[in-house]
Amino acid sequence: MVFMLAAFCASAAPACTSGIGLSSPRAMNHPVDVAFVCFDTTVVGLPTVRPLSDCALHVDVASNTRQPPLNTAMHMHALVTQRTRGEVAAVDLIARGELDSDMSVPGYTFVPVGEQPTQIVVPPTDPTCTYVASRGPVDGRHPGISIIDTRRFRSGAGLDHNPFPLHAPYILPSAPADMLLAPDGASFWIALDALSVVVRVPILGSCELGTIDLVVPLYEDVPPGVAFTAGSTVDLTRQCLLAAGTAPVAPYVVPPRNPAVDPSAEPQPVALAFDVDNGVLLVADRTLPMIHRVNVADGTLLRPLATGVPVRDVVVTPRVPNSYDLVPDPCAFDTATGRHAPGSAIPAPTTFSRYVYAIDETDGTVLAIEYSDESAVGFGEVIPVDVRGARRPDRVAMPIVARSLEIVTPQYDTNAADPRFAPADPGDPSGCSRAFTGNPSGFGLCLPNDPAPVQPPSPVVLRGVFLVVASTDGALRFVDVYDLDAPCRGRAFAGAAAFDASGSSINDCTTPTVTGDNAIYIRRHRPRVQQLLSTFVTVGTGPTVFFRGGGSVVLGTDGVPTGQTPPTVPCMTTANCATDAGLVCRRGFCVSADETPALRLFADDHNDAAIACPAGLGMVWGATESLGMMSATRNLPIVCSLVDPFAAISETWSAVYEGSLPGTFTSSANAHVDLSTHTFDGNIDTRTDYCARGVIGREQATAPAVIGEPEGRYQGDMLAITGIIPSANLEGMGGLCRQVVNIAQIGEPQQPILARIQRAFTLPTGAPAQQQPYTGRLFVDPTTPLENRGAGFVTQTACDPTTTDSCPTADHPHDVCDATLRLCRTFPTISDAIRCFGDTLLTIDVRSFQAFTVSGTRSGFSTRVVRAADGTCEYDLAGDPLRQGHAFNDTLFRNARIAFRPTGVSQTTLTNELAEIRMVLTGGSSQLGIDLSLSSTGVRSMALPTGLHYSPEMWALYGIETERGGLVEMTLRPLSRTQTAYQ
Amino acid sequence: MPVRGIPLFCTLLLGLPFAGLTLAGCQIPNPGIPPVQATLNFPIALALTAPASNPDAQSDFLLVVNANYDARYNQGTILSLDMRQIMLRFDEIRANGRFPQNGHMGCTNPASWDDPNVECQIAEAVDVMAGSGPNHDGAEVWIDSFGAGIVRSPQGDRFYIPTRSTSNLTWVDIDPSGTGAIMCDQAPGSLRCGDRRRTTMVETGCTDRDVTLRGDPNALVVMPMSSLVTLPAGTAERDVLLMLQRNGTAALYLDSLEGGLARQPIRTHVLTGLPPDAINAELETSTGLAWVSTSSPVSTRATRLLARVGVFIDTQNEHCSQAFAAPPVFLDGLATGFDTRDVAFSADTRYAYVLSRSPESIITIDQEGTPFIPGNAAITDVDDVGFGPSRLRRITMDGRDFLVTTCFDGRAVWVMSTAPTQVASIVPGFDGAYEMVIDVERRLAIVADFKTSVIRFVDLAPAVHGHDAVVLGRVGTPRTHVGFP
Repeated sequence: MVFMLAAFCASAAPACTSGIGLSSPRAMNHPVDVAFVCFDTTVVGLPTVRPLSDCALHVDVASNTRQPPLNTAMHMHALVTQRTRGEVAAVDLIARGELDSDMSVPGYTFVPVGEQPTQIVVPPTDPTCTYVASRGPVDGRHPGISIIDTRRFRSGAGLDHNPFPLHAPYILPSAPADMLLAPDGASFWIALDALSVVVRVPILGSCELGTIDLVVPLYEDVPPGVAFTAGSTVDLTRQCLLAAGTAPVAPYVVPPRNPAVDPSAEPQPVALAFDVDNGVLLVADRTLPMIHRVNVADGTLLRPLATGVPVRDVVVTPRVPNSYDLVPDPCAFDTATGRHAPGSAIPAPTTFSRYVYAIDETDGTVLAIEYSDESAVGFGEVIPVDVRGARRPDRVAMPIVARSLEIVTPQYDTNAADPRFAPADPGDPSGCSRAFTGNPSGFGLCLPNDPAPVQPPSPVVLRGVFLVVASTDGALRFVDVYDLDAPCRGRAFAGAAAFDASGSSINDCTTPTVTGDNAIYIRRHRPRVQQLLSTFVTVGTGPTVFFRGGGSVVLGTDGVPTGQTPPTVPCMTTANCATDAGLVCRRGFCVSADETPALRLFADDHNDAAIACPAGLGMVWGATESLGMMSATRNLPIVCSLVDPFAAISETWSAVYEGSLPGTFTSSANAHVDLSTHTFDGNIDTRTDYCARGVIGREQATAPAVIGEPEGRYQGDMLAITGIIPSANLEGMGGLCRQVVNIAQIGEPQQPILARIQRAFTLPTGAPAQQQPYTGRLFVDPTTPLENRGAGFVTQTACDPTTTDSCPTADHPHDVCDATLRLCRTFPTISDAIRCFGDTLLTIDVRSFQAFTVSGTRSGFSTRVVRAADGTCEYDLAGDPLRQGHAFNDTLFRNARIAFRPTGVSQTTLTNELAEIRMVLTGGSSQLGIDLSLSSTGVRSMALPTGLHYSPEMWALYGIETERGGLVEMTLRPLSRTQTAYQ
Repeated sequence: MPVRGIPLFCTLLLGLPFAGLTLAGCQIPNPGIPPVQATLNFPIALALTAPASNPDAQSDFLLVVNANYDARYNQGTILSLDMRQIMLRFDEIRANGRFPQNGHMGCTNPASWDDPNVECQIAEAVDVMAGSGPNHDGAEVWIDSFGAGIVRSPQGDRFYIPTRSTSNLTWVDIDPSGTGAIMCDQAPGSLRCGDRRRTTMVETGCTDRDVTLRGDPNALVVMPMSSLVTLPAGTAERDVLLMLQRNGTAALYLDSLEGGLARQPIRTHVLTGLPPDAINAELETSTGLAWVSTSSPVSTRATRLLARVGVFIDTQNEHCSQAFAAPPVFLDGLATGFDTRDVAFSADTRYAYVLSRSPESIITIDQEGTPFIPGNAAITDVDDVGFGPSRLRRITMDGRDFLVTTCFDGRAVWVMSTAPTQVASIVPGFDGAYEMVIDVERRLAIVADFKTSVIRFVDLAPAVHGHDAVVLGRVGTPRTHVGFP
């Protein structure tokens, strides 16, 4: 029995079972940082270290595979710090395996260092010593730097008999947050976050560090942010095939964030990056909203970058050209003929830019900062790059919290004066300093007239400069900065006349050599599109109409259900139509009285200019009409949307007639009922911020100022009570409760109780925002009849039909006398409904009244409703008029993202069977990335990438995944995860 | 009436389909083996009585709920340990230097007092048990097996224990005279709590309410009613209890503070429709909402939702008060976010820290932040912690918030500083760190080592100054399931 109980508990009870099973042994335990070192393994047991370049791999550009170094004894190793155990693991990246540093101990034993090791550095040109910074004690008491003879990592001789020593640790005055080797290799720069300083520690040689020779206390004065200036930064774009009439969506410019800074806040340097070209150290501050800049030469502080938010990681790009343009090449030379080849082209002269990227500490978003020319007006501005109309237009478009950043530069010569050129070929008979034709190195800009391109350009082949972002969902995402293959994308290669005399490309986006590479969109700071596209945004198989009864129909490109034809017989009145066939006159056409709801052309007259998509939007569903002249055509759009893939969002748009406003449902609405008198004062309180949800009452919706505005036709929202009145209560109040839920007898399905909202509020509580985030109130006139309760409920009260005052009462002022029955007809009110429920919480939501509720699954419900000072929800008529969420029958609806024209709903029939018109927009930009949480079999498991490191010698990107993945290796041509992960 | 834990457990939990098996296996009535007194036996829950500085108290006490996890005995127990005695003993054995084992007490591995591997121990819990007289009367009581937590009432005199073997709520009181004795209507000469201490009155005065309690209670939050509504003048305070069951229900109890020891919680409502597999809950005091963590053994049932449950107090008729489902918190943008274990809140309640096992991390949510996708939680950061994170507590020291996490598989306690969240200290030396309570005034994390049935005391104070938190010592002798008498 005991066994049975234990077994039951073990199988069914997480509280009991949590972690009882022993986890499988792992080699790595919370890896943090990685450094690379080259070992000469010629003599087994006597390793020697070599400069990093000695272990550099070569890539066979024809087969696109990495080749071993010429000296196969040269093995690149990765050294990985282990935070939990205070160790450093060594991995042989050529033999592909972790190294056991002490073979006398079972299992993998790594080299011990200080507690909580973070950064690790092996000087690339003098790798004799390895330096490991630890936030915990390195000597039992103090934080500092462990110094290890690098050869120890390959000795395997264990702790006691190892010929390669652990040197005396270097003590720091405070825990290091980050540590970088200076570009000259002569010193370390270390951030001490608790002391608000960065310090310089000289390397004396022989695994010895000198005393701190420079202490840089950081600024505490936060400069104002740099306002964005149009044209101050280069929005480099290469694109093909945006829909006709549309252009890339311009960035939404927002003023710089200048937050109030706590005067007692101290700088907290947490991450360092070198701007090698200018000799500047960039210091990310996790408390103050800026990136400090330190002159490496003398430690003086330069003007900081005002980020508007504290940041927790920072990287800087190399210089990148600002152009993909090409011009004819005066030096072009055809080696076969010995003549000039005038069709050849070279890159046109260009300027260069540099950028800083950082992670916003407050929300994990990524900033792009203009960092080209300190004397220029735009230097230091946070660039508005997200064109999706998001709440953070001054951020790189990312759907997820970022954890780490890295700049990768595959086949980009960061030391070249113009990295668009391949390294100079001294054998070039033309004498021109370039070697792009048949470029064997794979460096430099791709030129379409190259007879033998290194590799067909592709979205997944990375050549150039890219930002890589490690995210909390386990994925690594890539962002375009400068794509060396961009000029070749969408174009025909050698043999075709790729350029005209002016250097402009021809055959662009029409006959690409790479099949399917027609739709190109490469834009600086934007997510890199990961696949070949033929089009950007579509509605799939078409809009779909759903009915309350459960059926659905798909609409064709003419907007009517597939198989039907649009009405064509004009009319002035129904008398003009074949009434015996059930036709009526609507919208100037004879249509079936029970016509299927559908979508219509934007204008009934094809010659009406309004038949085209509204400005800024492109057709994503509709037909194309031939104009019969010169093969000209015209679009007849049914649905238009944003078609810029960086602005468009894959989402489902829904237009629900009298549908709920998103976020207004609650099962805990509290009606104000005085139990002693059972009276209801009309107020219903919930924890919902109604103004933020777009709720508006009748009084504010019909205010005179709204007339003429896009909302002018709207009459305010209505309350829907959807809870079930208990059976015991249904016969209460003389049967009126049945009328309240619109049933004749108990057992029938109860209908929602609908009542017009007079005013909606988000109450100013005066409390801090986090304490009462959801306080809202709806006021419904207690005496107003419920909607859609027909001719009223016949009471047993006799009345005189010749007078008007025999039935109305204070509670039911709208009651009337039935002239035939001579009995009063009463119309149930919201007060009646509240009484029918008794003293209980209500289940409610808010719905549109005689209008469609239009919302996108990601864009949400767009509205200009805001909270006034007294808490009333009202329209902000000064706001963007494209913030609209209500569509009306037979009226063109548009907001910032979509436009359509619904039809087929009688404006007076609340129970029309239409439930929803749904449009599934697919496309947008699918971002290039690698998901570290996916196993080779496609199973998704936990993953949390912590760090990224690009190794140009290995032609690979290394990710550190702290949960189970360990060290993960990825190649970039094409982007793929190698089969090896070191766990 | 079956009062012993095992037979009743068999009857209730295994259910009718297994009735034959149950009868054959349990042989009702089977009194089973009584627990061995003064013994830590898979400690599953911890709570402290009044603050250490309470001048009115003789001492303060640590209540330890022993789960009887392997069902070796016929019931679980609650021990009351004298915190001042524990601290005194630790001081003594350290002050006496590097002496070898001195009876029950001493320090192992005393190579150096700076050696983090030094561990001082009070080998037997009986040496520090509370209670009156030389026999520690009242320092131990017996309850049903599989307690799932213990929560102190806001007034500090009563403790509530959700109990899984009998699917019910158990409550005990602490001796108001300050002896640390536990009072739960024990019969004379018996350690067993009275039956009425694990049943609740059921309020049926409200219309159409089914307040039948079903499911496996896994978590409990308690708040004073005055934190939810303004009490009418002359109205006594009440404890408001929300008990979360694994089947996606939440039971609301009101416990009047009038009536002394005879008072009983009244169950007024059982809310259904919550995500199943609730495993823990934490109260967000500013809104009065309980955040419910879920961990499902069935992958298809796992959810990224953190349910939130609130309480509506009917001031006109409090017996009609209800629990309600507030908008849940949706964890998106994680790999995978399907297994959450605990929640803590920053001192100003702006930030919620969610302890996750997938990924094994602390997820920081800004309650005032803007999520990437409307409706999702505004996650601002995710910071890895040790393997098998189990419990998360926040302690504010010198004005700074620290987070303390027990890591069952990692056999460690991680201490994180906040704003920003980063590792401050990793405390090794545990076998299966699980439940934990924070002694704010002493700056201690008191950790139940579930796997070896000991309690360890972690001094958090050094973390304030950038040093490692250290284990002061332990109560109990480590033993696995084979080490019990």
